[in-house]
Amino acid sequence: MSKLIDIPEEELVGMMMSSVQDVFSTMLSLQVDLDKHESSTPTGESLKPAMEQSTDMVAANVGFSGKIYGMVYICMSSALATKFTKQLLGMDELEESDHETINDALGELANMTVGGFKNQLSHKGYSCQLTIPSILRGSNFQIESTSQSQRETFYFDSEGDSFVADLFVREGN
Amino acid sequence: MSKTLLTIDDSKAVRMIVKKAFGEFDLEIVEATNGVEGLAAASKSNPDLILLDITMPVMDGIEMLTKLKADVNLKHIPVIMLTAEAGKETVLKIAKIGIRDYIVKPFSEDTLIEKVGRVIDLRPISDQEESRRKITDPLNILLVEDKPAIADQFKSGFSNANWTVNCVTSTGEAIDAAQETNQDIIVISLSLPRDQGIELFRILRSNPRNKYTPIFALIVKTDTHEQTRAQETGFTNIITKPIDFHEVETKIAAAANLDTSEKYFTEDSGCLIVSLPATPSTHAINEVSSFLEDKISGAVDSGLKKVAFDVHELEVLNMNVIKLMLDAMKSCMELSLSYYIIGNSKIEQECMAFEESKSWKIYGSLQEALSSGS
Repeated sequence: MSKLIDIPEEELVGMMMSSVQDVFSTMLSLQVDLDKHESSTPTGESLKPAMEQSTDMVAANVGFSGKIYGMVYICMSSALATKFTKQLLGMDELEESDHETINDALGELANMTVGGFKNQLSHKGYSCQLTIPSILRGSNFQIESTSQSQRETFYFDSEGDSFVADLFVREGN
Repeated sequence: MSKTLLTIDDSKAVRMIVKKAFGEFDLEIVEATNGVEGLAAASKSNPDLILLDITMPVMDGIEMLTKLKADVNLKHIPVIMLTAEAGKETVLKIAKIGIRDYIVKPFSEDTLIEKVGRVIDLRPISDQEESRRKITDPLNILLVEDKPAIADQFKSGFSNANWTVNCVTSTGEAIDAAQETNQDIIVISLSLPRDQGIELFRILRSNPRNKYTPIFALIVKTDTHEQTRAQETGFTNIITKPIDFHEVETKIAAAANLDTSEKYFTEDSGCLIVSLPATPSTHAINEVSSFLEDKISGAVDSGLKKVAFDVHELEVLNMNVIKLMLDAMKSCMELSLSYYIIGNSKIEQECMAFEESKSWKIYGSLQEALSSGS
Protein backbone atom coordinates (compact mmCIF):
# COMPACT_ATOMS: atom_id res chain seq x y z
CA MET A 1 0.00 0.00 0.00
CA SER A 2 1.40 3.41 -0.97
CA LYS A 3 2.02 5.90 1.83
CA LEU A 4 0.86 9.50 1.58
CA ILE A 5 3.39 10.98 3.97
CA ASP A 6 7.09 10.47 4.15
CA ILE A 7 7.19 8.99 7.63
CA PRO A 8 7.60 5.22 8.04
CA GLU A 9 4.54 3.48 9.47
CA GLU A 10 6.46 2.14 12.46
CA GLU A 11 7.50 5.69 13.35
CA LEU A 12 3.92 6.92 13.16
CA VAL A 13 2.86 4.04 15.41
CA GLY A 14 5.62 4.86 17.89
CA MET A 15 4.72 8.54 17.89
CA MET A 16 1.05 7.91 18.56
CA MET A 17 1.79 5.29 21.20
CA SER A 18 4.19 7.51 23.11
CA SER A 19 1.77 10.44 22.96
CA VAL A 20 -1.14 8.40 24.31
CA GLN A 21 0.98 6.72 26.98
CA ASP A 22 2.50 10.02 28.11
CA VAL A 23 -0.91 11.66 28.55
CA PHE A 24 -2.53 8.71 30.29
CA SER A 25 0.34 8.04 32.67
CA THR A 26 0.93 11.72 33.55
CA MET A 27 -2.65 12.94 33.82
CA LEU A 28 -4.53 9.77 34.82
CA SER A 29 -1.83 7.56 36.34
CA LEU A 30 -2.99 4.77 34.01
CA GLN A 31 -0.96 2.36 31.97
CA VAL A 32 -1.97 2.05 28.32
CA ASP A 33 -0.92 -0.70 25.90
CA LEU A 34 -1.40 -0.94 22.16
CA ASP A 35 -3.54 -4.00 21.37
CA LYS A 36 -3.33 -3.73 17.59
CA HIS A 37 -2.80 -1.28 14.76
CA GLU A 38 -4.38 -1.15 11.28
CA SER A 39 -3.37 0.91 8.29
CA SER A 40 -5.57 1.81 5.31
CA THR A 41 -6.19 4.44 2.61
CA PRO A 42 -9.83 5.57 2.56
CA THR A 43 -11.33 6.82 -0.67
CA GLY A 44 -13.45 9.64 0.74
CA GLU A 45 -16.52 7.68 1.78
CA SER A 46 -18.17 7.97 5.21
CA LEU A 47 -16.52 5.72 7.75
CA LYS A 48 -17.66 4.14 10.95
CA PRO A 49 -15.44 4.75 13.96
CA ALA A 50 -13.30 1.70 14.51
CA MET A 51 -15.28 0.53 17.53
CA GLU A 52 -18.41 -1.46 18.27
CA GLN A 53 -21.20 1.10 18.61
CA SER A 54 -23.68 -0.90 20.63
CA THR A 55 -23.58 1.61 23.48
CA ASP A 56 -23.36 5.37 23.74
CA MET A 57 -20.06 6.48 22.33
CA VAL A 58 -17.99 9.61 22.71
CA ALA A 59 -15.39 10.71 20.17
CA ALA A 60 -13.09 13.67 20.80
CA ASN A 61 -11.35 15.00 17.73
CA VAL A 62 -8.50 17.43 17.30
CA GLY A 63 -6.98 18.41 13.98
CA PHE A 64 -3.67 19.82 12.90
CA SER A 65 -2.77 21.78 9.79
CA GLY A 66 0.31 23.28 8.20
CA LYS A 67 2.94 21.34 6.30
CA ILE A 68 0.90 18.31 7.21
CA TYR A 69 -2.88 17.97 7.64
CA GLY A 70 -4.69 15.55 9.80
CA MET A 71 -7.34 14.70 12.32
CA VAL A 72 -7.33 12.35 15.28
CA TYR A 73 -10.52 10.86 16.73
CA ILE A 74 -10.28 9.32 20.16
CA CYS A 75 -13.33 7.10 20.59
CA MET A 76 -14.60 5.28 23.65
CA SER A 77 -17.77 4.30 25.45
CA SER A 78 -19.58 6.97 27.44
CA ALA A 79 -18.94 4.94 30.61
CA LEU A 80 -15.18 4.89 30.00
CA ALA A 81 -15.17 8.62 29.21
CA THR A 82 -16.87 9.18 32.58
CA LYS A 83 -14.25 7.05 34.32
CA PHE A 84 -11.36 8.92 32.68
CA THR A 85 -12.94 12.28 33.56
CA LYS A 86 -13.28 11.32 37.23
CA GLN A 87 -9.66 10.23 37.25
CA LEU A 88 -8.43 13.38 35.51
CA LEU A 89 -10.26 15.76 37.81
CA GLY A 90 -9.85 13.77 41.03
CA MET A 91 -13.62 13.46 41.45
CA ASP A 92 -15.27 10.81 43.61
CA GLU A 93 -18.67 11.09 41.95
CA LEU A 94 -19.66 12.04 38.41
CA GLU A 95 -22.92 11.29 36.59
CA GLU A 96 -22.53 9.85 33.09
CA SER A 97 -25.17 12.40 32.08
CA ASP A 98 -22.87 15.33 32.94
CA HIS A 99 -21.93 15.73 29.28
CA GLU A 100 -20.48 19.24 29.70
CA THR A 101 -17.81 18.13 32.16
CA ILE A 102 -17.02 14.87 30.38
CA ASN A 103 -16.88 16.49 26.92
CA ASP A 104 -14.50 19.13 28.20
CA ALA A 105 -12.22 16.64 29.96
CA LEU A 106 -12.15 14.26 27.00
CA GLY A 107 -11.50 17.18 24.65
CA GLU A 108 -8.51 18.17 26.79
CA LEU A 109 -7.15 14.61 26.84
CA ALA A 110 -7.43 14.57 23.04
CA ASN A 111 -5.80 18.00 22.83
CA MET A 112 -2.85 16.83 24.91
CA THR A 113 -2.53 13.56 22.99
CA VAL A 114 -2.70 15.13 19.55
CA GLY A 115 -0.48 17.96 20.80
CA GLY A 116 2.19 15.44 21.73
CA PHE A 117 1.84 13.72 18.35
CA LYS A 118 1.89 17.02 16.48
CA ASN A 119 4.97 18.23 18.36
CA GLN A 120 6.82 15.12 17.20
CA LEU A 121 5.70 15.86 13.62
CA SER A 122 7.04 19.41 14.01
CA HIS A 123 10.39 18.08 15.15
CA LYS A 124 10.52 16.05 11.92
CA GLY A 125 10.03 19.21 9.85
CA TYR A 126 6.24 19.02 9.51
CA SER A 127 5.33 22.18 11.38
CA CYS A 128 1.62 22.60 11.94
CA GLN A 129 -0.95 24.08 14.34
CA LEU A 130 -3.60 22.40 16.44
CA THR A 131 -7.32 23.01 16.15
CA ILE A 132 -9.70 23.38 19.07
CA PRO A 133 -11.13 20.02 20.22
CA SER A 134 -14.68 19.06 19.35
CA ILE A 135 -16.83 16.20 20.59
CA LEU A 136 -19.16 13.76 18.85
CA ARG A 137 -21.68 11.73 20.82
CA GLY A 138 -24.08 9.01 19.78
CA SER A 139 -24.48 5.31 19.15
CA ASN A 140 -24.24 5.27 15.38
CA PHE A 141 -22.26 8.15 13.94
CA GLN A 142 -20.00 8.29 10.90
CA ILE A 143 -16.80 10.13 10.11
CA GLU A 144 -16.39 12.00 6.80
CA SER A 145 -12.89 11.14 5.76
CA THR A 146 -10.84 13.35 3.49
CA SER A 147 -9.81 11.71 0.26
CA GLN A 148 -6.14 11.15 -0.30
CA SER A 149 -5.51 10.66 3.40
CA GLN A 150 -3.81 7.83 5.17
CA ARG A 151 -5.75 6.16 8.00
CA GLU A 152 -3.95 4.65 10.97
CA THR A 153 -6.16 3.04 13.60
CA PHE A 154 -4.78 2.28 17.03
CA TYR A 155 -6.63 -0.03 19.44
CA PHE A 156 -5.58 0.68 23.02
CA ASP A 157 -6.13 -1.19 26.24
CA SER A 158 -6.05 0.66 29.53
CA GLU A 159 -6.12 -1.81 32.40
CA GLY A 160 -8.97 -3.81 30.81
CA ASP A 161 -10.81 -0.94 29.13
CA SER A 162 -10.62 -0.42 25.36
CA PHE A 163 -10.53 2.73 23.31
CA VAL A 164 -9.45 3.70 19.82
CA ALA A 165 -7.37 6.49 18.32
CA ASP A 166 -8.15 6.97 14.63
CA LEU A 167 -5.61 9.07 12.74
CA PHE A 168 -6.24 10.53 9.27
CA VAL A 169 -3.20 12.25 7.83
CA ARG A 170 -1.89 13.68 4.56
CA GLU A 171 0.87 16.05 3.55
CA GLY A 172 0.07 19.73 3.01
CA ASN A 173 0.01 21.31 -0.41
CA MET B 1 -1.54 38.98 51.63
CA SER B 2 -2.66 36.27 49.21
CA LYS B 3 -1.00 36.01 45.83
CA THR B 4 -3.20 35.87 42.73
CA LEU B 5 -2.81 33.47 39.83
CA LEU B 6 -4.76 33.99 36.60
CA THR B 7 -5.31 30.78 34.64
CA ILE B 8 -6.40 31.29 31.03
CA ASP B 9 -7.52 28.13 29.29
CA ASP B 10 -10.61 27.26 27.26
CA SER B 11 -10.68 23.88 29.00
CA LYS B 12 -12.60 23.88 32.26
CA ALA B 13 -10.80 20.62 33.09
CA VAL B 14 -7.39 22.32 32.99
CA ARG B 15 -8.63 25.21 35.11
CA MET B 16 -10.03 22.71 37.63
CA ILE B 17 -6.69 20.83 37.72
CA VAL B 18 -4.84 24.11 38.32
CA LYS B 19 -7.21 25.05 41.16
CA LYS B 20 -6.85 21.62 42.73
CA ALA B 21 -3.03 21.72 42.48
CA PHE B 22 -2.84 24.94 44.48
CA GLY B 23 -5.61 24.08 46.94
CA GLU B 24 -3.23 23.87 49.89
CA PHE B 25 -1.58 27.21 49.17
CA ASP B 26 -2.66 30.71 50.10
CA LEU B 27 -3.31 31.59 46.47
CA GLU B 28 -6.33 33.20 44.86
CA ILE B 29 -7.11 31.65 41.48
CA VAL B 30 -8.82 33.79 38.84
CA GLU B 31 -10.08 32.09 35.67
CA ALA B 32 -10.56 33.16 32.07
CA THR B 33 -11.52 31.07 29.04
CA ASN B 34 -9.79 32.98 26.23
CA GLY B 35 -7.42 35.84 25.50
CA VAL B 36 -10.08 38.56 25.54
CA GLU B 37 -11.38 37.48 28.93
CA GLY B 38 -7.79 37.01 30.06
CA LEU B 39 -6.79 40.62 29.29
CA ALA B 40 -9.88 41.92 31.08
CA ALA B 41 -9.19 39.68 34.10
CA ALA B 42 -5.53 40.75 34.18
CA SER B 43 -6.53 44.45 34.24
CA LYS B 44 -9.09 43.85 36.95
CA SER B 45 -7.20 41.51 39.28
CA ASN B 46 -3.55 42.52 38.61
CA PRO B 47 -2.36 38.91 39.12
CA ASP B 48 1.11 37.94 40.33
CA LEU B 49 1.35 35.32 37.57
CA ILE B 50 -0.55 34.22 34.47
CA LEU B 51 -0.80 30.62 33.24
CA LEU B 52 -1.61 30.87 29.56
CA ASP B 53 -2.81 28.32 27.01
CA ILE B 54 -2.21 28.90 23.29
CA THR B 55 -4.98 27.25 21.32
CA MET B 56 -8.17 28.99 22.42
CA PRO B 57 -11.23 30.40 20.63
CA VAL B 58 -11.96 34.16 20.28
CA MET B 59 -8.34 35.21 21.00
CA ASP B 60 -5.50 32.71 21.23
CA GLY B 61 -2.64 32.80 23.71
CA ILE B 62 -0.04 34.27 21.34
CA GLU B 63 -2.24 37.24 20.46
CA MET B 64 -3.12 37.78 24.10
CA LEU B 65 0.54 37.63 25.14
CA THR B 66 1.45 40.18 22.45
CA LYS B 67 -1.26 42.57 23.65
CA LEU B 68 -0.32 42.03 27.30
CA LYS B 69 3.33 42.88 26.67
CA ALA B 70 2.29 45.99 24.71
CA ASP B 71 0.18 47.28 27.61
CA VAL B 72 2.21 49.47 29.94
CA ASN B 73 0.00 48.51 32.91
CA LEU B 74 0.16 44.76 32.32
CA LYS B 75 3.52 44.00 30.76
CA HIS B 76 5.20 43.46 34.14
CA ILE B 77 3.02 40.42 34.92
CA PRO B 78 5.06 37.21 34.52
CA VAL B 79 3.58 34.60 32.19
CA ILE B 80 4.06 30.84 32.13
CA MET B 81 2.73 29.08 29.05
CA LEU B 82 0.73 25.94 29.84
CA THR B 83 0.02 24.36 26.50
CA ALA B 84 0.07 21.25 24.37
CA GLU B 85 1.67 23.32 21.61
CA ALA B 86 5.44 22.80 21.72
CA GLY B 87 6.49 23.06 18.08
CA LYS B 88 9.91 24.68 17.73
CA GLU B 89 8.66 27.64 15.66
CA THR B 90 5.87 28.44 18.10
CA VAL B 91 8.12 28.18 21.15
CA LEU B 92 10.70 30.52 19.56
CA LYS B 93 7.99 32.99 18.59
CA ILE B 94 6.62 33.07 22.13
CA ALA B 95 10.08 33.30 23.70
CA LYS B 96 10.73 36.45 21.65
CA ILE B 97 7.58 38.10 23.01
CA GLY B 98 8.70 37.33 26.56
CA ILE B 99 7.62 34.64 28.98
CA ARG B 100 8.95 33.35 32.29
CA ASP B 101 8.60 29.63 31.65
CA TYR B 102 6.98 27.00 29.44
CA ILE B 103 5.07 23.94 30.62
CA VAL B 104 4.09 21.41 27.98
CA LYS B 105 0.89 19.41 28.48
CA PRO B 106 0.58 16.73 29.74
CA PHE B 107 1.92 18.04 33.02
CA SER B 108 2.16 16.71 36.54
CA GLU B 109 0.87 18.63 39.54
CA ASP B 110 4.40 18.64 40.99
CA THR B 111 5.88 20.25 37.87
CA LEU B 112 3.19 22.90 37.92
CA ILE B 113 3.77 23.71 41.61
CA GLU B 114 7.54 23.72 41.19
CA LYS B 115 7.54 26.08 38.20
CA VAL B 116 4.93 28.43 39.67
CA GLY B 117 6.83 28.34 42.99
CA ARG B 118 9.92 29.66 41.22
CA VAL B 119 8.04 32.80 40.20
CA ILE B 120 5.82 33.54 43.20
CA ASP B 121 6.23 32.77 46.88
CA LEU B 122 3.77 29.95 47.59
CA ARG B 123 2.72 29.90 51.22
CA PRO B 124 0.53 27.21 52.75
CA ILE B 125 -2.91 28.33 53.88
CA SER B 126 -2.17 29.80 57.30
CA ASP B 127 -3.42 28.19 60.47
CA GLN B 128 -5.18 31.41 61.36
CA GLU B 129 -7.42 31.07 58.33
CA GLU B 130 -8.39 27.53 59.21
CA SER B 131 -9.30 26.74 62.79
CA ARG B 132 -6.06 26.33 64.73
CA ARG B 133 -5.10 22.68 65.02
CA LYS B 134 -5.06 21.08 68.44
CA ILE B 135 -2.27 19.00 69.88
CA THR B 136 -4.62 15.99 69.89
CA ASP B 137 -5.41 16.36 66.15
CA PRO B 138 -3.74 14.03 63.62
CA LEU B 139 -0.23 15.06 62.58
CA ASN B 140 2.01 13.54 59.87
CA ILE B 141 5.66 13.27 60.86
CA LEU B 142 8.24 12.12 58.34
CA LEU B 143 11.38 10.71 59.95
CA VAL B 144 14.47 10.19 57.79
CA GLU B 145 16.72 7.87 59.80
CA ASP B 146 18.73 4.81 58.76
CA LYS B 147 18.99 3.37 62.28
CA PRO B 148 16.07 1.04 63.04
CA ALA B 149 16.34 1.48 66.83
CA ILE B 150 15.82 5.25 66.60
CA ALA B 151 12.98 4.76 64.11
CA ASP B 152 11.28 2.34 66.55
CA GLN B 153 11.66 4.82 69.41
CA PHE B 154 10.04 7.52 67.31
CA LYS B 155 7.11 5.30 66.37
CA SER B 156 6.31 4.45 69.97
CA GLY B 157 7.64 7.50 71.82
CA PHE B 158 4.85 10.04 71.36
CA SER B 159 2.06 10.06 73.90
CA ASN B 160 -0.34 11.27 71.23
CA ALA B 161 -1.81 8.33 69.33
CA ASN B 162 -3.02 10.63 66.54
CA TRP B 163 0.51 11.50 65.49
CA THR B 164 1.63 9.27 62.65
CA VAL B 165 5.35 8.69 62.16
CA ASN B 166 6.41 7.57 58.68
CA CYS B 167 10.01 6.32 58.77
CA VAL B 168 12.18 6.22 55.66
CA THR B 169 15.84 5.32 55.47
CA SER B 170 17.11 7.16 52.38
CA THR B 171 16.96 10.62 50.85
CA GLY B 172 15.23 9.28 47.72
CA GLU B 173 12.42 7.76 49.78
CA ALA B 174 12.15 10.97 51.79
CA ILE B 175 11.73 13.12 48.66
CA ASP B 176 9.04 10.76 47.35
CA ALA B 177 7.22 10.69 50.69
CA ALA B 178 7.34 14.49 50.98
CA GLN B 179 5.81 14.77 47.51
CA GLU B 180 3.12 12.13 47.99
CA THR B 181 1.80 13.11 51.40
CA ASN B 182 1.40 16.48 53.01
CA GLN B 183 3.95 16.26 55.83
CA ASP B 184 3.35 18.46 58.88
CA ILE B 185 6.80 17.87 60.36
CA ILE B 186 9.99 16.45 58.87
CA VAL B 187 12.83 15.12 61.05
CA ILE B 188 16.16 14.41 59.33
CA SER B 189 18.94 12.50 61.04
CA LEU B 190 22.26 14.20 60.41
CA SER B 191 24.01 10.87 60.95
CA LEU B 192 23.01 9.79 57.42
CA PRO B 193 26.18 9.00 55.43
CA ARG B 194 28.00 11.47 53.18
CA ASP B 195 26.28 14.54 54.58
CA GLN B 196 23.01 13.44 52.96
CA GLY B 197 20.94 14.98 55.77
CA ILE B 198 22.07 18.53 54.96
CA GLU B 199 21.67 17.93 51.22
CA LEU B 200 18.15 16.52 51.76
CA PHE B 201 17.20 19.59 53.81
CA ARG B 202 18.23 21.85 50.91
CA ILE B 203 16.33 19.78 48.35
CA LEU B 204 13.15 19.74 50.45
CA ARG B 205 13.34 23.47 51.18
CA SER B 206 13.69 24.29 47.48
CA ASN B 207 10.34 22.63 46.77
CA PRO B 208 7.40 25.03 47.29
CA ARG B 209 5.43 22.19 48.89
CA ASN B 210 7.93 21.98 51.77
CA LYS B 211 9.17 25.55 51.81
CA TYR B 212 7.41 26.32 55.10
CA THR B 213 7.24 22.81 56.61
CA PRO B 214 9.07 22.70 59.97
CA ILE B 215 12.19 20.57 59.46
CA PHE B 216 14.10 19.31 62.51
CA ALA B 217 17.65 17.99 62.63
CA LEU B 218 18.21 14.88 64.76
CA ILE B 219 21.69 15.03 66.33
CA VAL B 220 23.57 13.43 69.23
CA LYS B 221 23.29 15.66 72.31
CA THR B 222 27.04 16.09 72.74
CA ASP B 223 27.77 16.94 69.10
CA THR B 224 27.67 20.71 69.44
CA HIS B 225 29.58 21.23 66.19
CA GLU B 226 26.85 19.46 64.20
CA GLN B 227 24.14 21.34 66.10
CA THR B 228 25.71 24.66 65.14
CA ARG B 229 25.95 23.51 61.52
CA ALA B 230 22.25 22.56 61.53
CA GLN B 231 21.30 25.98 62.87
CA GLU B 232 23.41 27.71 60.25
CA THR B 233 21.86 25.58 57.50
CA GLY B 234 18.40 26.79 58.52
CA PHE B 235 16.77 23.82 60.26
CA THR B 236 13.66 24.88 62.20
CA ASN B 237 14.93 23.32 65.41
CA ILE B 238 17.08 20.50 66.76
CA ILE B 239 16.10 17.23 68.43
CA THR B 240 18.89 15.67 70.45
CA LYS B 241 19.67 12.00 71.07
CA PRO B 242 18.96 10.41 73.51
CA ILE B 243 15.47 11.63 72.76
CA ASP B 244 13.29 13.28 75.41
CA PHE B 245 9.87 12.86 73.81
CA HIS B 246 8.20 15.29 76.18
CA GLU B 247 10.61 17.96 74.98
CA VAL B 248 10.17 16.89 71.33
CA GLU B 249 6.38 17.15 71.61
CA THR B 250 6.74 20.66 72.98
CA LYS B 251 9.09 21.66 70.15
CA ILE B 252 6.84 20.14 67.50
CA ALA B 253 3.76 21.81 68.96
CA ALA B 254 5.53 25.18 68.87
CA ALA B 255 6.84 24.69 65.32
CA ALA B 256 3.47 23.54 63.99
CA ASN B 257 1.62 26.26 65.94
CA LEU B 258 -0.62 23.68 67.64
CA ASP B 259 -3.12 24.62 70.30
CA THR B 260 -1.72 22.77 73.32
CA SER B 261 -4.34 23.93 75.81
CA GLU B 262 -5.98 20.49 75.90
CA LYS B 263 -2.86 19.21 77.66
CA TYR B 264 -3.65 21.41 80.65
CA PHE B 265 -7.35 22.41 80.52
CA THR B 266 -10.31 20.01 80.71
CA GLU B 267 -13.83 20.02 82.12
CA ASP B 268 -15.30 17.65 84.68
CA SER B 269 -18.41 17.77 86.84
CA GLY B 270 -19.23 21.35 85.82
CA CYS B 271 -15.74 22.47 86.75
CA LEU B 272 -12.80 23.79 84.71
CA ILE B 273 -9.79 21.64 85.62
CA VAL B 274 -6.28 23.10 85.23
CA SER B 275 -3.76 20.25 85.45
CA LEU B 276 -0.02 20.64 85.82
CA PRO B 277 2.43 17.89 84.83
CA ALA B 278 4.85 16.24 87.29
CA THR B 279 7.78 18.45 86.38
CA PRO B 280 6.48 21.51 84.52
CA SER B 281 9.20 23.22 82.48
CA THR B 282 9.36 26.99 82.21
CA HIS B 283 7.88 26.57 78.72
CA ALA B 284 4.94 24.59 80.15
CA ILE B 285 4.32 27.21 82.89
CA ASN B 286 4.36 29.94 80.23
CA GLU B 287 2.00 27.92 78.05
CA VAL B 288 -0.52 27.50 80.87
CA SER B 289 -0.17 31.16 81.78
CA SER B 290 -0.81 32.26 78.19
CA PHE B 291 -4.07 30.27 78.03
CA LEU B 292 -5.25 31.06 81.57
CA GLU B 293 -7.22 34.27 81.11
CA ASP B 294 -9.05 33.08 77.97
CA LYS B 295 -9.85 29.69 79.47
CA ILE B 296 -11.21 31.11 82.71
CA SER B 297 -13.34 33.75 80.96
CA GLY B 298 -14.42 31.03 78.49
CA ALA B 299 -15.53 28.91 81.45
CA VAL B 300 -17.69 31.77 82.68
CA ASP B 301 -19.14 32.20 79.19
CA SER B 302 -20.14 28.55 79.05
CA GLY B 303 -21.78 28.65 82.48
CA LEU B 304 -19.08 27.02 84.63
CA LYS B 305 -18.75 28.47 88.12
CA LYS B 306 -15.83 26.50 89.57
CA VAL B 307 -12.16 26.03 88.76
CA ALA B 308 -9.92 23.28 90.16
CA PHE B 309 -6.12 23.36 90.02
CA ASP B 310 -4.97 19.76 89.85
CA VAL B 311 -1.37 19.57 91.08
CA HIS B 312 -1.44 16.03 92.46
CA GLU B 313 1.20 14.85 89.95
CA LEU B 314 3.52 17.73 90.80
CA GLU B 315 6.86 16.50 92.15
CA VAL B 316 8.18 19.81 93.51
CA LEU B 317 6.34 23.01 94.33
CA ASN B 318 8.38 26.05 93.35
CA MET B 319 7.85 29.77 93.02
CA ASN B 320 7.03 29.56 89.28
CA VAL B 321 4.13 27.25 90.03
CA ILE B 322 3.01 29.32 93.03
CA LYS B 323 3.05 32.50 90.94
CA LEU B 324 1.00 30.81 88.24
CA MET B 325 -1.56 29.63 90.81
CA LEU B 326 -1.77 33.10 92.39
CA ASP B 327 -2.47 34.65 88.96
CA ALA B 328 -5.15 32.06 88.32
CA MET B 329 -6.76 32.59 91.72
CA LYS B 330 -6.83 36.34 91.10
CA SER B 331 -8.63 35.81 87.78
CA CYS B 332 -11.15 33.54 89.53
CA MET B 333 -11.83 36.07 92.25
CA GLU B 334 -12.34 38.86 89.71
CA LEU B 335 -15.00 36.74 88.01
CA SER B 336 -16.52 35.47 91.29
CA LEU B 337 -15.59 31.86 90.54
CA SER B 338 -15.01 29.28 93.29
CA TYR B 339 -11.60 27.60 93.06
CA TYR B 340 -10.01 24.51 94.61
CA ILE B 341 -6.57 22.96 94.72
CA ILE B 342 -6.34 19.18 94.23
CA GLY B 343 -3.12 17.67 95.55
CA ASN B 344 -1.72 15.33 98.17
CA SER B 345 -0.14 15.49 101.61
CA LYS B 346 3.35 16.07 100.16
CA ILE B 347 2.16 19.14 98.25
CA GLU B 348 0.32 20.28 101.34
CA GLN B 349 3.58 20.16 103.29
CA GLU B 350 5.48 21.99 100.59
CA CYS B 351 2.86 24.73 100.54
CA MET B 352 3.65 25.40 104.18
CA ALA B 353 7.21 26.33 103.21
CA PHE B 354 6.14 29.46 101.30
CA GLU B 355 4.50 32.56 102.72
CA GLU B 356 2.29 32.85 99.58
CA SER B 357 0.91 29.31 99.80
CA LYS B 358 0.88 28.35 103.46
CA SER B 359 -2.82 29.15 103.84
CA TRP B 360 -3.91 27.12 100.80
CA LYS B 361 -6.49 24.40 101.39
CA ILE B 362 -5.49 21.22 99.53
CA TYR B 363 -8.15 18.60 98.63
CA GLY B 364 -7.37 14.95 97.93
CA SER B 365 -9.74 14.69 94.94
CA LEU B 366 -12.16 16.71 92.84
CA GLN B 367 -15.13 14.95 94.46
CA GLU B 368 -13.86 15.89 97.93
CA ALA B 369 -13.42 19.50 96.85
CA LEU B 370 -16.87 19.75 95.24
CA SER B 371 -18.60 18.15 98.21
CA SER B 372 -16.86 20.48 100.69
CA GLY B 373 -19.46 23.18 99.99
CA SER B 374 -16.88 25.95 100.27
